[in-house]
Amino acid sequence: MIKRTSLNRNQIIFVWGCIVPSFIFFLIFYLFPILNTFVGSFFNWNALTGIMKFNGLTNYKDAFSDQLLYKSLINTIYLTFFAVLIKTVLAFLIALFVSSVKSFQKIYRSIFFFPTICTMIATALVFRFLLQPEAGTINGYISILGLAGPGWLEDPVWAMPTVILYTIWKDFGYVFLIFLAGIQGIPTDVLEAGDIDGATGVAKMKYITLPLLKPITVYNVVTQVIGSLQIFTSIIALTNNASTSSSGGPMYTTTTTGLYIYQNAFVSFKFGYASAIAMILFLIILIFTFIQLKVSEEDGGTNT
Amino acid sequence: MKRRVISFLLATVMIVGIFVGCGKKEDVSQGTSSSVASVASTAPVGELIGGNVKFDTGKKIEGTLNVWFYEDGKRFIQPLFDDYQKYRPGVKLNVTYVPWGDYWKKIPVAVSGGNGPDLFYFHNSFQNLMVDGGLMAPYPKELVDNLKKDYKNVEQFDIDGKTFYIGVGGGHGLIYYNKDIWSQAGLTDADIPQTWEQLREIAIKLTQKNADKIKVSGFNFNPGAGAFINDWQFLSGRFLFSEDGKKIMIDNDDFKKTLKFFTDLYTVDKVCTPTFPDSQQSFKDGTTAMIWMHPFFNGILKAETPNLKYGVFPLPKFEGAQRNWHFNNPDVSMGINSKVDDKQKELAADLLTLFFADDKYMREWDLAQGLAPTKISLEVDETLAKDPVIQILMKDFDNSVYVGPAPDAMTQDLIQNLIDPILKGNISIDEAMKNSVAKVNKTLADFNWKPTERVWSYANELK
Repeated sequence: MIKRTSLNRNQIIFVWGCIVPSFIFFLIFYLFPILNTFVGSFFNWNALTGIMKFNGLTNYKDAFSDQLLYKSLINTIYLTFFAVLIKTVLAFLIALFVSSVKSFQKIYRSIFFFPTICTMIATALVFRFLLQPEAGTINGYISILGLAGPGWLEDPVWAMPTVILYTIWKDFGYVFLIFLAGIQGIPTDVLEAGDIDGATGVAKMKYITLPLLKPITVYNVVTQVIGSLQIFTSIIALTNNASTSSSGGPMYTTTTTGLYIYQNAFVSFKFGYASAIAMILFLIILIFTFIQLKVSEEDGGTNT
Repeated sequence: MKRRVISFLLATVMIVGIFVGCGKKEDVSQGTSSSVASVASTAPVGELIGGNVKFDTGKKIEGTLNVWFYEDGKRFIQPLFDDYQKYRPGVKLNVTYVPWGDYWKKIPVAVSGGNGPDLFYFHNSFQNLMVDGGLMAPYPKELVDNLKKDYKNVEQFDIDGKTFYIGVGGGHGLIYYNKDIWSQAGLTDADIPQTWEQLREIAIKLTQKNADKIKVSGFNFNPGAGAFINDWQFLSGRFLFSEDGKKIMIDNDDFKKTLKFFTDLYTVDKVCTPTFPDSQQSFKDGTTAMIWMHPFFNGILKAETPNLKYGVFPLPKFEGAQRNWHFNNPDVSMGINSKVDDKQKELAADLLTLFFADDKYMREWDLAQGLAPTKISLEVDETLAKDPVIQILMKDFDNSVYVGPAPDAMTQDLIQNLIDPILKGNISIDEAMKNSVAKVNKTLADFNWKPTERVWSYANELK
């Protein structure tokens, strides 16, 4: 049984001293904006001119009949599903490989984590340059093989897969590092016990490694899903056209809900409507995260 | 204990560090006074410059004046700021140049937030936000009364009896052509097309291919035709908007025929592809023979590609059309911040007075941006008359229709819903038309404005 000890006065002051600034930060930069957005979603609101006229549920009614919002949600879910799935599987397999090698582990870690620490804007601009359909390097190499490269970000069919590819390349390192830490944290005596019992590699993976990695996997998947559902910066960086100030890809094929919120707020200056969409997205993420955690708890608990 | 204190201090520093990045002051550029126009050309102290709008060079004023302008405009506007500083030594002039891509995100936020500049570059497509939203102050009545005597069409910019900006020059789309590519194809200036049908033949001739891949485009309007689409409606002989400005009127057979003509250039004649590099960049790189572009591009070419041999000619008309009606896209004068105090507004109006009074600043602006002058005294200006772009604009001015402060978002709606689906999505013209009209009309429904097409001199020629 853990014996509870009471803190002395200095310790209490220290604890509050650490908590209060963080809590104030949370109030100002998280809670207040969310509440402000929720209230704003019931208004015809332009934050720049100060016009704020109550219009009840009009913004939500408009959102539910907005075909472009549905398209952006479908795009977002499509991106989230494939990006998270491929990132998770790839990161796990590569983490397994890196944890099994005896030499150059640190070099492998650096190589795979490197894209994550590069600036997103700079890397996105490089990607756009490399993937320019007519003059880009990648299609240049493809043409040497006698083939015609796709339109990449300019092609309605290829645009979103290209964004997914970039997202995987950019964020993969973080997921890989978490998995690597998890794999290296598996107690060796458990694996040795498996060896003694004659378990094959596949059996050890199925009955020891994967179950012990479940909390890590759930953490990775949940954080990646939350991040992907809110994706915005990489979309702008990859698809923004300076001549026309437009973004979101050909025929809105890479318009995600995060980008659509931004466009409504800061291009069309419809802050009330953008707030309503933001609240809808918030609700979707909340429900999804709740379901994920519930499912993983029912499977044997995660304590994540 | 020591460890706890260090941990606490570290946590505090980290949290404070986050706030340090907030509210970063804009970099202030004082600019340079390197322009030829300002060198040794300021009037003596005590002189009155101008016609009806007069600037008193000897007036003593003290204060600080903050001005924002877009970055590319520095090449033509800096002389104004340099000279103003010389005439008003008691005024501290702070000029900030903001990149164009950021400008329309930053200026509304800065002005509405109460820390915007006193005077700033303005474009009429943002009238709905900046003027109707109460972020701009009207010009002083005395200034406006004198502007009406020195400038054309000032009344066109009247909003409920007040004037917040006026046109500084009229501009519309032109065709820029690369003279080297032209001569490689055996063409001369005598081959400059008068009709779009002739342009099509020339574009096919100018297109160079490597197997099936286009090396040089004959005619390029990427990305997605942009504001060029507005011209297509006028070239079809039609008004762009309904009288109340709530509907776009492109769903008609004339426009569909024009739309088919231009999209066939890509899909049938193969003079370009929708994924070919951006028209402005590829023209500068010498990989496009002809582009449609606004007159401001002339100034960019002079500054960035001085060795590029190019020419310009007016938009052709379609065979059988009465004239080459097209879309007028004027530049307008700077706006005064409504949220600053009266003293700052007076200072802003003082700088504006110099700008309007002395011909040379308007001349610099019109030359750099390739605009037909609205200042009456510049209509016979020799320098402007010699500029090939402005010559064309002045001759062609009556054919260009000013529609008023149409929403900027409309162009994106048309690219995404009309052009991209046809060229990149293989969607039929009829289906793309239906979707684009619905989207644009939704944008217009929330936009408070009134089109001015029908007050144009030759409006009776349009349907």
